[in-house]
Amino acid sequence: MPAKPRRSTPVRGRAKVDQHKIYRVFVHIGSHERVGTLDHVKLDYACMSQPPTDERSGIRRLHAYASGHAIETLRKAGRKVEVLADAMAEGKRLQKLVGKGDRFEGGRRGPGGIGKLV
Amino acid sequence: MALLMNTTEIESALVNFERTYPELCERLLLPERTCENRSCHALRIGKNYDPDDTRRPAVLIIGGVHAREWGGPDIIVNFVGDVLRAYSHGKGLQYGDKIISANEIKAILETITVFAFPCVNPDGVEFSHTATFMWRKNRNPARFNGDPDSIGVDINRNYDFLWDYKTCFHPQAWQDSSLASDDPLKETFHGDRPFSEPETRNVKWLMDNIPNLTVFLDLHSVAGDVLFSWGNDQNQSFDPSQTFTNRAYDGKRGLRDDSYGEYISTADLHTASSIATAIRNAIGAARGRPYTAVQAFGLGYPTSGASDDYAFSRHIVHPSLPRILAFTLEFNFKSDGKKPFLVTKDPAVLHNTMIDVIPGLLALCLEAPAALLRVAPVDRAVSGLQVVHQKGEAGEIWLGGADAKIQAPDPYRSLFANQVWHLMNAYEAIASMPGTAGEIAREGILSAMQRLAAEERKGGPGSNNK
Repeated sequence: MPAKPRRSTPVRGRAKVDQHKIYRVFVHIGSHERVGTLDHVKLDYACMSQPPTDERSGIRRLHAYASGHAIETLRKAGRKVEVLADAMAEGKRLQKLVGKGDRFEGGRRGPGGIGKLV
Repeated sequence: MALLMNTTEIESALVNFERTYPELCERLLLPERTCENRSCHALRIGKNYDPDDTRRPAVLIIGGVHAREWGGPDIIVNFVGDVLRAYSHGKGLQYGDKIISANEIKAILETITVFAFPCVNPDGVEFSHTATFMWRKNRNPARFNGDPDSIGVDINRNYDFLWDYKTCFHPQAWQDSSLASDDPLKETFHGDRPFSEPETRNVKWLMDNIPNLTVFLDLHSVAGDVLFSWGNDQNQSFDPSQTFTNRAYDGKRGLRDDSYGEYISTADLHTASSIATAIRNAIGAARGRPYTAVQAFGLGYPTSGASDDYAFSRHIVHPSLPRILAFTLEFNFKSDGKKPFLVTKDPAVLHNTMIDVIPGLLALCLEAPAALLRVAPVDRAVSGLQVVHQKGEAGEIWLGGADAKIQAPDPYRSLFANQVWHLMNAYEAIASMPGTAGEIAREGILSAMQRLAAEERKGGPGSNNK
């Protein structure tokens, strides 16, 4: 049976964005630039994994969630924004990983455990 | 196959543990229901629990605070399940290459008490699981203005520690909304006042009501760090006046490499960083994952109203409260590269993350007795001072001082140097203790140092261990 084609994220790079959707993005900022300078647009970057600064170019990429509207605003201001994923579609796929109902039947069963007894 | 537990399953797992191990654990109904009317439970774990036993340290571990940081509740539930299962079989546990012996499991169950609150923010977690994946806050609708993002408060900016960030921090620090925000649309909206949220009040209730709580850990993601106090500014141990309680420093906190640093005694810093290092080492021993042990401010931004700083600040604001050494463990995933949180359908990723992190939680428990180090004034006619330390493995109480055993001597120091080091740490710990008790304790330490020095000059006990 042929392997299922891997579902790719529907948007990448400088692709046109929908103003009403939320995307996961990299916003390029200077290595010494304060993130606060971007607070005029709504960016959600709290506790997100941040890649290290590119030492050759001095460019830091801020990993964040942003609306299509925010992306367009940033781009119009001359800011480079890389679109990594449609965050809503990504979220929907991930939500399939969460249990449905109650596998532990109100406490009649419990999780099997992770560690090996030795 | 589903990987992660939903909020119902997290609760059911706790019910199962209580039913399966009634002599080892008890489910605690917390006083506050969430905004969506969910009840919240923590689990107390420990053999022969006696709330009046003041020598038995307690540990509090919480998770599920930031809704989208998936995996935290699963880690805590499996940590609890593993400890209970291993103890009931008289066995140890293995995670990757890391082995925790049966004696260590026994020590955890019999000499400390663990309180686990795996899902502090069930409303937010449920919303992240079923509606908007990237949701972080709780679901408090109090400030709803028609924009769905105006719902909710960041629970980890709602504790009573430098909560009024625009007064307490330097204006340059509050330009970055990671510190906190008073804008309900922001992910770090800190609420209308400290402890405005039922979730933070539940955690506070646990801190208020757990006897002898000595260690606290808040499980987050995704940095791959074990963070210790402080989170509001860089640590310093030379100027006790530079402290969060000193209003003279309002408007000056939160900047790197400036004149303000948050005071932490050398003794507390040593103990906190040692425990963080022990956690990091245990995590690394499982599969070699390179976590770092670092001061919370080292994360890259200051924080206001965070749980770890609140926990550690309590004994400074109210000296009658026990000192709680506080940590935030930011777990992450091996394949996370550009990913924000647990964004993978590979079951091995969550499993391996648990293999990494659970040994860290076990290490925290095993280190808890070290955090119990107390300097207690006693009758000055007897010995001036006793340093009380509960040794984890055997539950043995050691009484230290100039004329008694010294806990955990550094093999690279002479006995004399170890004793002096120990007494200096003890002195630091009680340097600001008010009243007669403080005076007696300080006198006791000084006289113990004088006795030591006199013995050393005479070629006493330290001279054969140089």
